[in-house]
Amino acid sequence: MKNSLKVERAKKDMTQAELAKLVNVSRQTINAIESGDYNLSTILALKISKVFQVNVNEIFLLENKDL
Amino acid sequence: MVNFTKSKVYFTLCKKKCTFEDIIKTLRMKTNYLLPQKFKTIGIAMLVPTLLMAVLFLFYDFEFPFLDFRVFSIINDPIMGDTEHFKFIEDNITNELIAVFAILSLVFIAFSKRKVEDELVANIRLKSLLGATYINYLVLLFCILFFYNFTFLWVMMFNMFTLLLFFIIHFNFKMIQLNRK
Repeated sequence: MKNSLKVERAKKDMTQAELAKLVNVSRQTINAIESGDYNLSTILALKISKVFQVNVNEIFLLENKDL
Repeated sequence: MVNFTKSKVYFTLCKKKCTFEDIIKTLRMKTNYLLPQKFKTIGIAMLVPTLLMAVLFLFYDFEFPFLDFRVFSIINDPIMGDTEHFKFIEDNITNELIAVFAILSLVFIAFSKRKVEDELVANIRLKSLLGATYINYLVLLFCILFFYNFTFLWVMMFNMFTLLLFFIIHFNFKMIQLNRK
């Protein structure tokens, strides 16, 4: 699964720590999601999409290898 | 496109009408069975004297004389004599106390909450428990095959604690790795 979390953060001029605080996780978790080291849960994906006010699949996209 | 997070669409969950917000709130209330954060400090404080006592007991046969008690045993199988069931016996409980405190302190250290307990930490915790279980039983399998008689009894004695010990080492190593990134 690839994501455009870094881009969305940049659009809002938001740091990893700020986003982490808003969705109630650690900064390391946001970093691990951005670098693709960790596949987040549905609930966290929904919370993040809510912060950026976009749909989940505008940030998180399935890759061919996931199908 | 409909934004679900902001919509007032109602869902039916358990015969109750609820919004998307309500579902998120319900999911957030999931239970975790971890101990409060302060238990880690208690665990470490308990482990230090327990380890000291364990070394004294194992290598110098040290026992506290004031810990001689009449204790209830379900099964007592002495080296000399017959097996007894459901009887009170005389015993020095130093070794029992060491084992109880060692297990409690390791459980406290292993399963207390971290400062930030999120889903990534829960994921690492689960993976570490799996890793520790594999390592523990691989070591045990090796010992079953290559250690005999009293040495194997020693192995079994240490095996009571090694699963928790491997878990603590594995989990903390992974957390340090994560924090370095």
